[in-house]
Amino acid sequence: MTGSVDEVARVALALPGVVQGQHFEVPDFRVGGRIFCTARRGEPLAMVKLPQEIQTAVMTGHPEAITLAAGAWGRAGATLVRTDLVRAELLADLIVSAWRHTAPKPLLAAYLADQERPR
Amino acid sequence: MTMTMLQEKAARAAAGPPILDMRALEKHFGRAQALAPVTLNIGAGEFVSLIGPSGCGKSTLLKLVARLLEPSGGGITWWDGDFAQVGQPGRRLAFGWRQATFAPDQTTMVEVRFEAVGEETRVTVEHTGWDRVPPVHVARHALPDPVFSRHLADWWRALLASLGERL
Repeated sequence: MTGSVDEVARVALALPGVVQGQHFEVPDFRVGGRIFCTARRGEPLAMVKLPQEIQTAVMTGHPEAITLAAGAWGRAGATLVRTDLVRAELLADLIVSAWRHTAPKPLLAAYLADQERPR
Repeated sequence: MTMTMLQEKAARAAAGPPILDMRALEKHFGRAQALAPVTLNIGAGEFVSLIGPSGCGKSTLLKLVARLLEPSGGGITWWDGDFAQVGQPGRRLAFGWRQATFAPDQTTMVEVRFEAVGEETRVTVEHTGWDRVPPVHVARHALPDPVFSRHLADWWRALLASLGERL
């Protein structure tokens, strides 16, 4: 079974200031030293750190694919996503939303300014 | 519309563009709708309250204004321009998220129920109101402390979370 690392990394590492790390054998993605998502090797599972109201909405809309992490992790925002059961666009939106809520303000401001620059 | 309201509206129009202008602004994550389309403009000097039940999208709307989320549809302008307007002189936005706080001597009334379920005892703790005489300690020794403490801690955290998220 393929893991979620490649598809999570593709979105996460394209965002400013993101570095890939690892804790307890779990690949993680950090901005400003804070983890905003993780992935798994050999398992189609990712974690995105989301505010409570977004957790509630996405779990209600996708109960088969999105669940709260157990205990204090879940209450702190950890939301588990079965990457094989959600569309790539949704996974990308969740990762980018997690990054926006975690990134240091100056980095977020620069990113938003760049998004609005005419191309 | 009263004359006062008309005068106020005219004054706002004279004061310049709306600070926030949302047109059918909405957010969904796949099948999950976090905010149904909202059209709203807020002018200088206006005081606007968003009122609605938990989960209706109040926080989501504020986060779209702060660009912590990308809209799924509709649009928003800040001072008649893009988000780069925010932070210019006289054009600042600030968010203050409410934190759960209690007065030092405030206590709560809870109802504790013990039910036999098979070989286990189910403990249910429900908040029934604020009071200065909490009955918690009355029931505290009815079960081994670790069991009771775990259920009470779960309930307390849920209460704090719900208060903290209420805007």
